[in-house]
Amino acid sequence: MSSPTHHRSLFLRGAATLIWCIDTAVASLNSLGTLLIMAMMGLICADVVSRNLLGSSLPGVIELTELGIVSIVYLQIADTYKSGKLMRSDGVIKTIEAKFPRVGLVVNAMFDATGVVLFFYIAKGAEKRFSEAWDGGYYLGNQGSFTAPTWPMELIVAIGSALLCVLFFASVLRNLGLLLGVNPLEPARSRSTSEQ
Amino acid sequence: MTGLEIGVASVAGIFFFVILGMYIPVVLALVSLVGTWFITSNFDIAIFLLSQKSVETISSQEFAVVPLFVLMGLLISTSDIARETFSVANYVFRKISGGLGVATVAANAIFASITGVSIASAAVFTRVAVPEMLRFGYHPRLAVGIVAGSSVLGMLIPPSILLIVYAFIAEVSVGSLFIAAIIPGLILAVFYSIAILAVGKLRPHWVGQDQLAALDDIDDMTFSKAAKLLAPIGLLVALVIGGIYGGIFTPTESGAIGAAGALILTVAKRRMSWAIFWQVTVQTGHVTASICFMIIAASMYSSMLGLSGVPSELQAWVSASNFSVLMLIVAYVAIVIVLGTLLDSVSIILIVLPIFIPLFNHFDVDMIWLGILSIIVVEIGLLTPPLGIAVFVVKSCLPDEQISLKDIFLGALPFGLIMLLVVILITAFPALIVH
Repeated sequence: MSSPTHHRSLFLRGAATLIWCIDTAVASLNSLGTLLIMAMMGLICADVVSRNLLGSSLPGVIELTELGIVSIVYLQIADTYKSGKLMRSDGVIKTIEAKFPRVGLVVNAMFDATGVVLFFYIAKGAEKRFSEAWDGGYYLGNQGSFTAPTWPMELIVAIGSALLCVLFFASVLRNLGLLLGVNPLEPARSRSTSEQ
Repeated sequence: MTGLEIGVASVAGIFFFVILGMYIPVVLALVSLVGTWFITSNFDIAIFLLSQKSVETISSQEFAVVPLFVLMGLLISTSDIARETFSVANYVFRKISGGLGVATVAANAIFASITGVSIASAAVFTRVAVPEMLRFGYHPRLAVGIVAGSSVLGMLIPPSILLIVYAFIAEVSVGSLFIAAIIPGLILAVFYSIAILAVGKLRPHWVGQDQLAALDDIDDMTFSKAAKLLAPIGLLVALVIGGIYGGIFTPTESGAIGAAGALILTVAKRRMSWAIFWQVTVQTGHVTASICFMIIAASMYSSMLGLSGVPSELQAWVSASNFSVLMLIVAYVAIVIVLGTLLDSVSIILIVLPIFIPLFNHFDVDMIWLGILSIIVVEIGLLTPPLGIAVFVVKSCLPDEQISLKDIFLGALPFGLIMLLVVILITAFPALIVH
């Protein structure tokens, strides 16, 4: 039977599952990025040791570092936003929020909407770069000594920026929900954390 | 609208939205996107530029220097190294009136040579040095002023994240910038110390009776113990800065070695667990993503500016009017200090420099020298109201509610003036930086 309350609870469950999926994706990318930083430190140290003690550099370190740093940035960007570490100067907006809470919500929703637009276009561009890299077999390095394909990095850029676009969109919804006094995402969010 | 008008409108729009509180990289990238679109009248070119810049700006192994030095600094901050350095410095300066203050500056300078962020220094030394100074009867304003003022050394003495950001935007080598920053950093530390000693002579009661007090505090400190505490730090500095100086390592390699060294050090001190290491690396990722994305956005912004013709127009204007290089420097310093009261250091560097670099180039100003000047001037903003970040960090780490924000701002003021003095000094004697 489909009663209104049944609909509502189905909707809440759906929202909770969706939020859980997004949170998990953000956390997984973040973990991958963290491991990549550790690996990069290890790899460069190994290269230095090998060059100074064994007399020869490790092949591919420069290429891997180059791919690595771009990957690290886009693996971490969504979690950086989520942890409030994306740079902003919040003096004025905090004053607005305190004095005119509803204006604050509108302004914040608009700011988040600009984030949606920006990261949508970055993700779209990255998707194109990814298919070019995949189809064209693009690589870094020299044939014969060391080559690394660039598509994994381009894929990470696409996924990372798409995910941040989604996070910005969720924040627009949250701000608008608070403004209208209805917020289906909040109870769902608290449920999803209690399930973990 | 002409390209020039679009360029000017974009810069104005950027300042407006940044100060209103929009995410800074989003403002820079999006306004540049729209600006490029209007200037070229071609949306596809603008989008192409965006997707190209979003990857290619940072796809160079040089950028790996960012996470590595951040990791090194954060690892060091988990250990007790700041406290130990402070007690060693205390032991060295114990017989001087104002010695505790000088010790704080000295410990900050040493700590700065293994970390790259001012905020870390301000937090650590507020907890370590302020209670000591208060205990020995320092004037509270002086105590917090010394900590806030000397935290600035963190960004000036290499390694420094701000120097790295400048190097990328001005296209100079990170290594030479690091080397060039050593002497001005030491000059600033010495000037701070002289000022504290002068206070000790003129107003002895402001620096308490620290000779007596310090003695009982460092009873168990001996020369050999001090040497033992400093040795690992000295080794790390020698490896990291010496490696760059001697040309043995690239800055990226030196960052990796430094981070690994810091990891070994904290493990040896039994301060490290897998959980802490993970947490510190996650934080490193956040800082890296945030800074690198700022650099991506800033590079879109500077290419939009280039397309708009604003820099070349400014250049023409400066050479037509009888602008001297000194006037340009004064104007630049004034603008940066004013912005410093509102914005964070990285944003100022990335927003203002693309406009000013062509002008300084017009006068053949050395980019390394400009870098050091910019860092010092930007850092003055850390100490000025309403948004002096170092001051807020000091406040948030103070256990004593009695000391107000105003006290800290007033206490830090003389140190801001000393920084200005160093700015004048390096302008009068550029040879201090460029040999």
